Order: sequence, then C-alpha cells, then structure tokens
Amino acid sequence: MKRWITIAACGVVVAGALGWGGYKGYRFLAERGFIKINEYDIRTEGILQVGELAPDLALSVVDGEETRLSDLWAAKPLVLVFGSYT
Amino acid sequence: MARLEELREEWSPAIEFSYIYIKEAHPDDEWQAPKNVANELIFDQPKTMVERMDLATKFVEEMDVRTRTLVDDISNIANACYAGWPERIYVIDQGGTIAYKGGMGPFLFNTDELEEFLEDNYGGLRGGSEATAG
Repeated sequence: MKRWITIAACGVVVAGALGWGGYKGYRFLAERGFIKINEYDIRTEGILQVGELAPDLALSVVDGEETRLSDLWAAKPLVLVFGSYT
Repeated sequence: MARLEELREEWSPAIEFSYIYIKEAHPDDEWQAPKNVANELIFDQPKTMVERMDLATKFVEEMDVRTRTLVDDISNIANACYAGWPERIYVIDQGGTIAYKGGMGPFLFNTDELEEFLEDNYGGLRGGSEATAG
C-alpha cells in the first residue's frame, strides 16, 4: 500500500512538473511570437538589426504635414515608438 | 504611455522622441481585449487613411500626448519595414543607424530597458543640446 502511495505521489509531481514546464515553454514561445495566439496575431521579429541603416519613410504628422524620419534623426538621436490606441 | 512622456521630458532636448501610430492591436472587429472593453476603447480597425488619422488624433487628444505623432500609411508600410506591431521601441542615431531595437510588444516592450540604454549611451548629453551617437 505504502509503495502505491509513493508511486502516486511521484506521478503527481512529474505531471505537475511537465504541466508547469509546458506552460512556461508555451509562454516563452508565445511572448516572442514563435507561436501565434490567433489569426490576428501578426507579431514578427522583423529583419532589422542593430547596426543596420533604418528605413527612411515620409509619414503624415497628426496635426501637420508630411515628415521624413531622416529629418528627425539628422538633428539628434531619435527614439521611435510604435503603437496604437488599442 | 505616461512613462514615455516622462522620458521625453527628461531627455529633451538631447534626444528626439516620436510615436508612429500603426494598425490597431485590439480593434473590436478583430481581436478585442477585455481591458479595452472595460476602458471603453472600442474601435474598429481603420480601413482608410482618414479613419486612421481620426483615431490617431483621438488618441493624442484623449491621452494628452505631447510627443510628435506620425501616422503609418493605411498600407502599413512603416510597420512592414520596422515590425512595430503591436508596439516596439527603436533608437536611431544621427547617421540613421539602428542603435537599439526593443523587444516585441506587449510582453517584451520595456521602457526601463530604453531608459538604461539612453543612460549608458547618451547619458553625457543630458543638459546639453549637441548630440553624438553613442
């Protein structure tokens, strides 16, 4: 009887460890975009790397005219933050 | 958002800060998020440039954003080039070279890491106006 209790306890520990490890593994891969969460998940690491030239684009400003990114980074280092309201 | 506004104020005028408003992360007609519903941020994905510009303007006004906000074209060209969706931070030096590429949002979007990078590479510029790449 004691032997079976020990086996059952070990089974619970192993199952818990596998479940926890699997969850952490899933989180790790999902957070880095290796696993897509649903069809609208378009996260990608992209191809740009530190040390490469940044793409120069002309974009509209919310309350003004078109601006080139190169005009912004020419004067001083530029922190560029991508995002949306939602 | 508030932390980025603080950093901009702290690092101005040595460092330029700019947002690029891109494709919505959690619009109502795609992948709605409970947090947005709770905060009544319920918008469909803009289908035209006018719709995206209107939403970006609403964002700037309602969030009291003081940082220059550029708006990605409806073709999502900026996002395609920079892989910015849903949120990401870059630092570009005066030669146009990428000096820092932040992690993919939302999980790896890290303003503390940005602050540390600015401190390590441009810390000497604070209080001055002339910038050199670090």
